[in-house]
Amino acid sequence: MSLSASPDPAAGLDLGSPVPLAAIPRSLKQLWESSAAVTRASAMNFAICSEDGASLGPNTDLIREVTREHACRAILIAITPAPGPPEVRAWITAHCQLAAGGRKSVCSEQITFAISGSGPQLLPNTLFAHVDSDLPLTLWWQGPFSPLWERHLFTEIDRLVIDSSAWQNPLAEFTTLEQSWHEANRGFSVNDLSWTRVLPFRMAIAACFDEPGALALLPAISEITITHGTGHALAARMLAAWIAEKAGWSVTGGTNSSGFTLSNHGRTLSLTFKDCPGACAIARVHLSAPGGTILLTREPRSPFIEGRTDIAGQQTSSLTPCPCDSPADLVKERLRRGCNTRHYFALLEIVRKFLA
Amino acid sequence: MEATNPFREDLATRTRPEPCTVVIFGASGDLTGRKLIPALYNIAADGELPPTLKVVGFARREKSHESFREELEAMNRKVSRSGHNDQLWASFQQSIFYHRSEFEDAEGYQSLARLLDSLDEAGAGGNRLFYLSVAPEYFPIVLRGLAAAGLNQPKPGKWARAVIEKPFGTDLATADALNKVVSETFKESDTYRIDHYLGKETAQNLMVLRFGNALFEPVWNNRHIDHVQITCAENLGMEGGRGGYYDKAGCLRDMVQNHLLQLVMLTAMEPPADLTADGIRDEKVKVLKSLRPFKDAADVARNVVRAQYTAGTSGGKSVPGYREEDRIAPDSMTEAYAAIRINIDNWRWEGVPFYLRVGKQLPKKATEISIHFRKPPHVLFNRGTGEDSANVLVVRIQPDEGISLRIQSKIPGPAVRMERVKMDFQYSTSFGKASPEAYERLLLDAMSGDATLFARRDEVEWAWRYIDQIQEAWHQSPEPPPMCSYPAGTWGPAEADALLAADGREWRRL
Repeated sequence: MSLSASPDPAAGLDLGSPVPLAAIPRSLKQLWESSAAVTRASAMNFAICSEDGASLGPNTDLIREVTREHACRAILIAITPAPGPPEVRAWITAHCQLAAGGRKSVCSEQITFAISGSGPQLLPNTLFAHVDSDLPLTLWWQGPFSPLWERHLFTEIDRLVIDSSAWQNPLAEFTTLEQSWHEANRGFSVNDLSWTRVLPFRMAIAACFDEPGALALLPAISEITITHGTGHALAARMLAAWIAEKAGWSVTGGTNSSGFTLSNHGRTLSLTFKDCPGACAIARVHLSAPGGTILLTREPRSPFIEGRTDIAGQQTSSLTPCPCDSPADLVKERLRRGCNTRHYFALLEIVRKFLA
Repeated sequence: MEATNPFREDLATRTRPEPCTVVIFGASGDLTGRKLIPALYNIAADGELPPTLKVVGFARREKSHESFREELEAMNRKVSRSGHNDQLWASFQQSIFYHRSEFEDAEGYQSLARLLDSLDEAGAGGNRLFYLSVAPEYFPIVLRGLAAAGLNQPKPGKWARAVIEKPFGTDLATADALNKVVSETFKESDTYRIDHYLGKETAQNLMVLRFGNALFEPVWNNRHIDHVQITCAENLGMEGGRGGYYDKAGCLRDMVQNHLLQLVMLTAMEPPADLTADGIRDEKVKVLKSLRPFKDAADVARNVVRAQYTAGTSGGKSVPGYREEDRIAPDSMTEAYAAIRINIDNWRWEGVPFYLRVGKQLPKKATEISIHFRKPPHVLFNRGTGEDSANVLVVRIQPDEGISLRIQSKIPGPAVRMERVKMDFQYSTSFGKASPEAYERLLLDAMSGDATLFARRDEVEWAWRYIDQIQEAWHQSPEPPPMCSYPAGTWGPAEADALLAADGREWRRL
């Protein structure tokens, strides 16, 4: 199947100047030489690979936003696997922002590829022929892993970004992911946006337990309820796994897909997940014990998580920033931080119990 | 042993600040509204502030908690790095309180103690950080006031720390006297002498540049480096009434004793054994101990140039000379400019002079360290060119924080002609987001108990010991070195150029 037989993934999009594949380096050079008023900036290669033909538009918008904080060479690839020889079209463009103080324009370059057809190592070849040497390579693999996710690709990257909330069958995808990571000799870090969605709540929970009274309450906690938005059940289970791991609790059973029992050194705790349509990815975490409660809530679109602790009649409140909602916010946040991939996989062992 | 919060284990990218109450003495001053409160607010906006933190402003003026908060809010709207969010401010301001008292009033400290106790009961946690943002003459008064009220003594299992703004003394004797008062009231490990230059990203990056890259450290010595220049230029004079303070201090006390000598130390220090506060500060102090002392006033005259600016032009406007400035004595002998040749007598730096220059009403505002490497041998490409072909590594502290390296490159064409080109790294373009303000980092560190970026007692005293030699030559010698002059808006006096020319060198053009 040729590109012309499928909907054109580039139709109606402003992807910049179309360029022949062989002319990309020269065209980029001309792009920068054409304006003395801008500074090219790059601290990494950031590639996005998608098998969704409609991804180029949203991903270009995302790159425009991400480059405000993370100067990079962006490489967008929309690939439509099909029988027949490969056909590759390319565009180049730049995303410019005013630097602090507005003195100069700082620009990141974007190379876009629309690929159809098939061929051995088509994707790795297209990607690795255009990365900026010496800079780390971050690859966002959008969607489930497919045959295109192969050794030549994942053994060469430094950071992998995924969004496990988009997976239909997370258990199988996690297995593929873990196998790839081992096959790559643990050479890339895993940055799951679903895990990033949980981060502000992890910070809010940690902040609550900085207070000695709350910390003293931890061994007595008997009930946990996590309310999540539709489509974010996995994020809620990641948060629960993290809480359980940190508190030293183990999963002992499940009453149904949203109710579980945990053991705290012999004491039983109940864990309940609630799906709330229209709510934030994580909307509410309620921890209760005979001596008090800890409640963390986030209203839709609020930039903060409100924390309220009520322990032995003493109430305290807190606000934790929660800047991550859009995919661009999540990516920016993820790129800002490192990721402990070993810890991530260790948590997945607990998450699997909530998914089984 | 106090239980630790297990949820913090994999979240902390740095030492977490502990819940505490920050007491700011001199809270009605400019620093509180412009720097300290916005710094705390921005730490809160980053989610790094302990939720139970309290802030108490201590000052003389009559104010209520509400009016104090309103003033701070208005200023925060103007200057906050991350902008101003009403919801966050509404939450943050609930932790701000005002306490009116004279600094000399013992009862004011007793009532402060009662206020702090009541805040502790409301969950503040019992730790206290006393921030002295007051004129230096009030340092001993405030410290003794705290001691008399028992506030210098931490509660069991808690801490009490003092943060002291510069200037820390005006010479070795006053610094020593002040240190004695400090040591009577707070342990050295609980004393944080602030130098906001050390909170700047590039200053912190100096150690990373040197010890985190295999490329630089092997050539960071007298076999490869010809000399080092450190410049701190300001393109302002005595606007805004600053002449009153400045004419008493001068740039040697105001800038060299603290900021510039800190940069000398970071540039010249040996690799520390570890990254603990004392591990690093031990190495810094060794640099100060290695500074070659001046023999006499004549030796000072040979190695140090002082100057005042005369009327000139700055930013397209005519500006007055130093002695015509507001609040400056017409016969003032205070230096508005200084250039110093520093020799460091140790194995690494023997024969490598460090040239420092600092001044007001220079053409531009810039602080930087430039490492001038030795010239390549005059063979092959360098034969008889007469051009300055030395490599120069520049660490820009402000503005445009970054690092650049000057190298020689062949000019395209059939002939072998060379030109100097610059490889440039800028924080703003490489990392996109703005660096946190220096005070954010320093307040976080003080709340976390990390004193690495604060000056230790011996650091301050050794720095004064060096500066005092120059001050004595200038002000107590029978034959003092001359006060030179330069037109405002130019790069300093001819004598400063001659200082380098005598060594066959010249100042880097910024």
